[in-house]
Amino acid sequence: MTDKHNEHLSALVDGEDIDASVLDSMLEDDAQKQQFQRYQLASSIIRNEAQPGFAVDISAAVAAQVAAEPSLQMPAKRWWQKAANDSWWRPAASFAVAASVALVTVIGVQNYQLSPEQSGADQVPAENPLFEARPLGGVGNPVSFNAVQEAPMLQQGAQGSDQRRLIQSFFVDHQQQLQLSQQEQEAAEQSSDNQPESQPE
Amino acid sequence: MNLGVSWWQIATMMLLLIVAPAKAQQDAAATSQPQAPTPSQQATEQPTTSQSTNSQQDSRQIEGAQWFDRMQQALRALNFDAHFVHARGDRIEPYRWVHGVSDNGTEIELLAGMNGPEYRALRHNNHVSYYHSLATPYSMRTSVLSGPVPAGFFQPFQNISNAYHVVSVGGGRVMDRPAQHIRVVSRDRQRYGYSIWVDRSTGMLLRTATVSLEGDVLEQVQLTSLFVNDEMSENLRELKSIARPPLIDDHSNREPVRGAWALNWLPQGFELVRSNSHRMAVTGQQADYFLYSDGLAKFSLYISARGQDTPSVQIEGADSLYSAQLNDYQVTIVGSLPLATIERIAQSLRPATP
Repeated sequence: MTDKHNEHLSALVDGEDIDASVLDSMLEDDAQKQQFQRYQLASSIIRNEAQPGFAVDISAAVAAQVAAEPSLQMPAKRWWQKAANDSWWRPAASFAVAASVALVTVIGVQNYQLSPEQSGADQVPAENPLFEARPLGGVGNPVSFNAVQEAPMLQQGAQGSDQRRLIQSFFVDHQQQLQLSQQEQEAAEQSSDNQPESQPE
Repeated sequence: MNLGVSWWQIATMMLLLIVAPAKAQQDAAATSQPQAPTPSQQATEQPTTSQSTNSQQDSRQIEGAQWFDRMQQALRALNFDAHFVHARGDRIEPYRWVHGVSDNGTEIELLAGMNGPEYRALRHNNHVSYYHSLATPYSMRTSVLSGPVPAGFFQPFQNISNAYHVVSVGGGRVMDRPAQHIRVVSRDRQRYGYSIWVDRSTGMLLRTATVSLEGDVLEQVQLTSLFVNDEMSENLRELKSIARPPLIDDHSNREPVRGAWALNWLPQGFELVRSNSHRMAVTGQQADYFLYSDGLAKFSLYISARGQDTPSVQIEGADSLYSAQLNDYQVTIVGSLPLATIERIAQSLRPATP
C-alpha cells in the first residue's frame, strides 16, 4: 500500500470527495479496507464519536450479501414488502421496562477541549462543540453552544466529563419525558376534567 | 462545526454592504436638516394607512389559519408516500414517511430513518409502536407519531392560537410545486417561529423551518419526494396485521412532585401537561419535574438537589438549556425556546409559601 493510497483514505475518513475509480480500487483491496476501518475508528475517537461495542466489521457480511443478491435489474422489492413476516416488527418476547424508555444512545458528543499550548490568546472556538442526545425512537437533538458565558464544561479531566454527562442527562431526559407525555395529553383530552394534581402556580 | 456559510448569510452580508452606505448618507442628511413631520400630514395620512394595513393583516391571518388547517387535515387524510430530510445544527437525517387512510377510516403512518441504525415508527390510529435495531420495541397510546415534524402541526390552529398567530406570506416553489408560504409567529416574541410551505394542490406539508427571534434558521424539514394516491397503498395495508409490541410502562411518572414550587412568570399559553418526581436519565439524579407546552413549544423544568460542583450552564439552540442555583437547589430548564425566555422562567421560580 502506498502513501498515495493512505492519502486517499484519510481524505475519505474526513468526508472529502474522492474519485470513484480510486474508491473502487480501494474497496477491492482487503488491506486498504482494514486500514480504512482503523482510520475511521481513530477519526471517530479523535472526534469523540466512538461508540464502544459497535465497532463491528460488517464489510465482509455486506460483501457476501451483495454477492447473493439477485440481479439488480429485477424490480427492487419495497423494503417493507415482506412486512408481516419480518422479524423486525415482531414484538419482543419479554419486555424489559427499564430498558425501553431508559435505553438511550448518546452519540456524537463533540468534546471540546483546549490543549495547554492552545489555551493562550484565542480561546474562542473555531468550531462550536456539539451535544447530541438521541433517545431511541426519538429525534436527534444536537445543540450548539451559544457564546458560552461560564464554560465549566470546557474544564479538562474528570470534572469536565461529569458536567458534560449532567448536560446530556437533561437533554436526554427531556426527550424521554416529551415522548411519554404524549400519552397523557391524549388521555387528558379524552377526559378533560382530569387535571394534574400538583401544579406550580 | 459551522464552517460553511450558507447562501442567505452571504446574501444578508451583501445586502448590508449595499444598504449601509446609503443609510449613512440618509443619517447624515437627517442630522444636517432635521425635519419634523408636519402635524397636518400625520393626522390625515395615519388613520387611512393603519386602517388598510389592519384589514390587510386580518385577511392575511385568516388566510394563514386556513392554510394551516388545510395542512393539518392533509396530514391526517392524505394517502402519501414521501421522503424528507431533517436538518438541525450541522446534522442532516433522511427519512421515509408514508401515510394512508383505509376505507373504514383506519389511519396508518410509517416513519423510517434512512441513515445509521435502523429506526421505524408505525402508527395505527392512536397506537404508535417504535422499533429500533438496537433496542427493545415498545408501543404508546397516542395519535401523534414522535418525529421531526412538530406535534402541533397535527392539530388545528385553534390549539395554538393563544400563543401564536399565523400569517399568509405568499406563494413559492418547493419541490417543483406551487406552494403557499405561511408563517407561525409568537404573539409575545418570547418563543421561536415557524415558516411553513404547504402544497397548494394537496395541502401537504412540503417544508418547514424553525426560526429564532433574530431570524436564524435553527431546524428544518424538507420533503424531497412526494407521491399522493387516491387509496391507501397495498404495502401499508399489509402492516395493519402486524403484532405490535407491548405498551410502555411509564414508571417515571408514578411518584408525585416532592417540593412545593411556584413560577412567578410564565409566557401566555403555556400549560402544565406533566409533573412528577423521577430519577433522571444518564445520571440517575432525583428531580422534581414539570413539563409545560403551548401546543408547539415545550419545556421541561427540573428542580434537583444542588451538587458540590453543579455548573451554571447556558446553551441556546433549537433546544435551549439554562441551569442555575436557587438557594439549595439546582433549577434547570430545557426546551424549544430562546435562552432569554427559559432564563426568565427559571429565575421566577420560588418555593411556594403555604
